[in-house]
Amino acid sequence: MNEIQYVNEHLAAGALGRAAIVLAFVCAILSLVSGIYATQAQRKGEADNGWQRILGASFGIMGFSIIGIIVLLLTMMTNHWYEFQYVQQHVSDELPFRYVFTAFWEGQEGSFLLWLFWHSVLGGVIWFTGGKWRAPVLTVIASVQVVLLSMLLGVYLPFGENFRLGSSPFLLLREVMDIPIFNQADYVDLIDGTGLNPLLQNYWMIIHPPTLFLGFASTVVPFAYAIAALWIKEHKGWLTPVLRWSLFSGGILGIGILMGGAWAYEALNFGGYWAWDPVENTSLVPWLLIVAGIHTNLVARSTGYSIKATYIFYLLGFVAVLYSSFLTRSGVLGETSVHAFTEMGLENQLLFLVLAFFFLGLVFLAKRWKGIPAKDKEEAASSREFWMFLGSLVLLFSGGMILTSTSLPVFNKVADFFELGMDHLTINEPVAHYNKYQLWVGVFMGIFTAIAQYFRWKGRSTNSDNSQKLLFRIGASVIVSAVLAAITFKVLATNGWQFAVLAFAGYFAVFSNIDYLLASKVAVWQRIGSVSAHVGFGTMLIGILFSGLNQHQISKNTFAMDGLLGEEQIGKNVLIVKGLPMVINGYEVTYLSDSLNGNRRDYHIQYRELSKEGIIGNEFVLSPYALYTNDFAKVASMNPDTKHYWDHDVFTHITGLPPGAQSADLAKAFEDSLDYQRFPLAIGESTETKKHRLTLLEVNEQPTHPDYEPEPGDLALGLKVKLERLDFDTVQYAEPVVVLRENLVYSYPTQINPFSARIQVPEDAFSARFGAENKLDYRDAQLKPGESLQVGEYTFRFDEFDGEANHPNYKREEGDVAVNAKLSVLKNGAVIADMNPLFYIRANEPGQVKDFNVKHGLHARLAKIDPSTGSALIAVAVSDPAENVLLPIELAENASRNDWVVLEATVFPGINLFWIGTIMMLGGLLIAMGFRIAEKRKMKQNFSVSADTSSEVTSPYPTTRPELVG
Amino acid sequence: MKKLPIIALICIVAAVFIFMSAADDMSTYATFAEAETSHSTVRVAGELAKDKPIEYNPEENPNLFSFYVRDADGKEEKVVLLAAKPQDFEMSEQIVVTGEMKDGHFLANDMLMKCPSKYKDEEVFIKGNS
Repeated sequence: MNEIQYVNEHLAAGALGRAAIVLAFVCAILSLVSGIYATQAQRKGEADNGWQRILGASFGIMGFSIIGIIVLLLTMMTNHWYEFQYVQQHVSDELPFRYVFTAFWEGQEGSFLLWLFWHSVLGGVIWFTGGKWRAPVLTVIASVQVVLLSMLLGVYLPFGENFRLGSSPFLLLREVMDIPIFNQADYVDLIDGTGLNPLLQNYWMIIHPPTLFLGFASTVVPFAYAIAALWIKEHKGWLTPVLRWSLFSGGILGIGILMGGAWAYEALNFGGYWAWDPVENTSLVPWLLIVAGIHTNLVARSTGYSIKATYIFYLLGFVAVLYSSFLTRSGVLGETSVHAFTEMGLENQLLFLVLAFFFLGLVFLAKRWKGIPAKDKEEAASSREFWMFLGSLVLLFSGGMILTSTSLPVFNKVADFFELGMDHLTINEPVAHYNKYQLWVGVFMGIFTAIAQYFRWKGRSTNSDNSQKLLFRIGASVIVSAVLAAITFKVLATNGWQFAVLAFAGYFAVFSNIDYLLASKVAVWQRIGSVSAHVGFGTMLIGILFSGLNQHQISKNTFAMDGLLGEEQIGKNVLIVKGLPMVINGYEVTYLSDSLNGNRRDYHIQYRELSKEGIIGNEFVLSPYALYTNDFAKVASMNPDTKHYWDHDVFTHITGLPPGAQSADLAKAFEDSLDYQRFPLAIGESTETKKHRLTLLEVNEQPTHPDYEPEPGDLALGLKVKLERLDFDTVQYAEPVVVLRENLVYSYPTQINPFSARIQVPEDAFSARFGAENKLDYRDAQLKPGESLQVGEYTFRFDEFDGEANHPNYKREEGDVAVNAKLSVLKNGAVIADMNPLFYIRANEPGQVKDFNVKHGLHARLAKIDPSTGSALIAVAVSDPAENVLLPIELAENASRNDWVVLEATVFPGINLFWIGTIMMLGGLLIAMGFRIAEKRKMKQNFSVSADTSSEVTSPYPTTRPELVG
Repeated sequence: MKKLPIIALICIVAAVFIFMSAADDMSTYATFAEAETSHSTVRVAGELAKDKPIEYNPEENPNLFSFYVRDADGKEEKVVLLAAKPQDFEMSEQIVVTGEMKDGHFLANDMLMKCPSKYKDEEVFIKGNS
C-alpha cells in the first residue's frame, strides 16, 4: 500500500490537527506544573517568580489550541474530507449544513472536544474574575484537562501489548481500515460519508449536547474550588465565590438534562420525557449532588455548619460526572441501555479518570479533615439549616440509590473480573423500581422545602414572627395543600395512597414558598430565585403525578381482548385503515393520507374528540412519521407527533407499517410472495378469474402514478384497467405504469386494497405496444421526392426532405447534420398519417431515428441519403394496428392490503405543569446566580477594594446576615 | 437530646430497609426452566431463534407478537409479547424478555433488544451507489 501516491488527501490538515492536540496537551501539563508552583508561592506568601504568568499563558494557549482543533475538524466536516475517519463516519454529502455541529459532537472525540472547550472557557472566566482563587482553581482544572486531552492523543505507548493512549479524531480512514478501494490513488474522490444517525437529525440535537456538556463541564468549578480551599486551608473563604458557580452549574446542567427529556418526548417514541435510562440517570445524579451542595453551601455560609458536607457534595458532584462519562462511553451498560454507544477502546483510561479524581478529592479531604471548622452545638430543630441539611441528605440518598441501581452492570463486570462466579443481577422492572423509591424522595424534598422556609437561620425569630402567627400561616398552608391533594387524588382515580402524599408534598412546597415570598420583609427580588426554584419543584411534582398516573391510551382497543387478559395487558396499539374512521375511547381517528418528504414519510392522522353524546369537539391532524435510513433501505425510526393543549397533550406515533413501507427487503419479500397471473388483453377486452373481471380500458403514454416522477426521455406506458368483484357489485379502477429510462425498466404497480389485489404491467408490454423491432419485416426502396413504396394496403409517399429535423426522440447536439424525410401514408387513396423518420450524422457516424405510428402499426426509417441524386433509402414495415395489439397485464389476488398503520396514541394530562415546574426550578437557580453576581459587584464598589479583588475571599458578610436565597 | 445520632440511626435503618426491599426488585437472569417453576415475573436473556416462526399479524391483532427465544441453556420457548412488533426485530442479537410462563408459553410485558451497532456499520459508501 505504501507505494501508492494518493491524490487529493489533505494530509497537512491532519498533521496540523495532531500537532494542535500535542500542543494543547503540553500546555495543559505546563499549566498544571506552573499552577502548583504559583499556588505554593501564594500560600507561603513568597515571591511568585512569574509562575502565575506562565499559568495564564499556557492555559490560554491550551484553550486556543482546543478552539483551533474544533475549527479545523468542523472545516474538514463541512468540506467533506472523507479521507479522515471521523469525517467519513459522521457526515455525508446529503447531510444538511445545520446538522454539521450535531455530527461533530455525535462522536466520542467530538464530545470530548466540546467538554474540553467548555472547561477552557470556564477556566478563562475564572482567570479574569477569580481573584486569588485563580491559581489553585486553574491548577485543578488543568489537571482535568491533562487527562481529557490524553484521550485524544492517539499514540501507542511501548509498554504492554501496544497500549494506545487516546483516540485521535485526525486518523485517516486508510489507517483504520483495509479495503480494496485504497488501492486506487484517487479513492478520496470516490467515497461518501456514512452520515448522521437519522435519530439525531432533530433540532434538539443541535442545542441539547452543548448545553448538557456545559453543565457537565461546569461541575469542575465547584470541585476545583473545593480542592483549592482544602489545599490553601481557606475553609470559609471559598463558600461565597463557589456559590455562584454551583448555582450556574445546577441551572445549566438541569436545563441540559431537561432538553434531553424534551428531545425524547418530541422526537423519540418511548412516550414520555423520562425513562430511567442509565444515560439519563447518570446525568441526573451529578445534578442532585450539586443541588445538595448548593443547600449545604448556603447553610455553611450563613451559619458555619455543614462545611464538611459542602466539600463532600461538590467533590462527589464532579466525580459523578466522570463516572457518568465512564458508564456511557465504555460500553459497560450494553445490556441495559437502549442508547447505542460505540466503544472507543478507552475503558481503562476512562476508569483512570474517575478513580484519579475520586482519590484526589479523598486524599485532600482526609488530610485536611481535622482542620475544617465545625460547630460544637447542633442545629436546632427550629432552624432553617437543620431542615436544609436534612433535605441535602435526602438528595444524597436519592443519588446513591439511582447510582447503585444503574451500576448493576458494573457490579456484574467486577464480579466477573474477580471470578466470583456470581450470576448477573438485573432489575426486573426498572421504571417501577425507580419510581417506587424516588417518589419518597419527592415527598421528603417537598415537605422539607416547605418547612425550611418557615424558619430562620439559627432558629432566630423576629419580632413580627410571633409563634401564633407562624402557626397560623403553616396551618393555612397545610390545609389548602391537603384539600388540593385530596381533590387531585380523586381526579387521578388511583388507589395508591402514596400518590396523595406526594401530591400534598408538591402543593405544600408551592404554597409555603408563595407564603414566604408574600411575608418577605426584604425586597422581593432577593428571594425570587429561591421561591421560583422551590415553587417550580412543587409544580413539577404535581405535573409528574398528572402526566404519569393519569396518562391514558386513546388507542387502547378494549373490546378486542376483553376477558382474555388482565387490564394492564390490553394492548396499546390499534390498526387503522386509510380513509376508514375508527371510534376509540372518545375520539374518532382517521388515517387521512401519507406523503413522502425527503427521507421521511409523514402519516396524517385526524383526531376528532367526541363527547358522550357524539358531538364533535376538538379536531386536529397529527403527522407522526417514519424516518428512513440515509440510503432509504429501511425505516430507521418512527417519530411521534404531539398536539399541545394547555391542560393536556395528545401524543401519537406509528408502531407498525405494512411490509412495503418498512424496508426494501420486506417490500421485495412481499413482492416475491405475490402470485401474479398474466392476461394479454386488447383495448376494451375483458377476462375473468374466479373472483374478478379485468377489463383493459385504455393505454396512456403520459401516465400518472403517485410514485412516478416523469423525466424527459422516459418511455412510459400506463394501462388503465377496470377491476370488478364477481360476488359483490363493486368496481375499482387502476392505472399501473411501466417506464423505460436509460435502458432500465421501472415498474409501478397499483394496489387495489379493497380487493387485496395488485396489478402491474410487465416489461414486454413495450414490445407488444411498439412492435418488437426484430419481428418486423422491413421493405426498402431508393425514393426521390414524390415517389412511393407500397406495402400491403398502405402507400408510403416520400414528399420532401426537411432540414428542420424535428423528432420527439432526437436531441440535437453541436455539429450534428440532421434531416427528416416527410412521408405521407395513404390507404384507399386517402392520407391517414404523416411520418417523419430522421437521419443524422454525428462525429462522422451516421445514425437514424425511426418513426412509428401506433394507431395503424406503421414503422418508417430513413436509412441513407444520396445527395448526388437527391434520393433517400426509405425502409418501412407494418405491424398490427393498436386496437388489435394484445397488451400483457399481470394481476395478483393475494396482495394483502397496504393502506393501514398501527399506531399508539396517548393523552398526557397536565404535562405542561411538568415543563413549567422544571423551567421555574432551573430558572430560579440562574436567577439566584445572577443575584449573587450583582451582589458581588455591589460589594466591590462599597468596599472599594484593591485591584486583586481578594476582599471577597475573606467574606465581608457578617455570618448572621439575613438570608437571601434559601 | 442529641439529634444527630437519631438522624444517623434513621438514615441507617432507612438505608438497610431500602436495600433489602430493593433486592426484591432485582434478580438474576432466569432461564425458561426456572421461569416455569417460579410463577412470578422474571427476566430471561437469550437470542432470537431465527429458524422458528416470527408472527405478527396486525390486521388480526396489532397487540400480539410471537417469536421463539433460545435461552442460556439452549432451550427454545415461544414468547408472546402483547405489543406491536418493534423495528429491526429480525436483526437483534440478544433479547431480554420480562414476564412469566403461562399456558405453555412465555407471556412478556416488556422486551429489550440489542442490535448490532445500528448506524456505525463498518462500511464505506462509494459515491453514486448509495
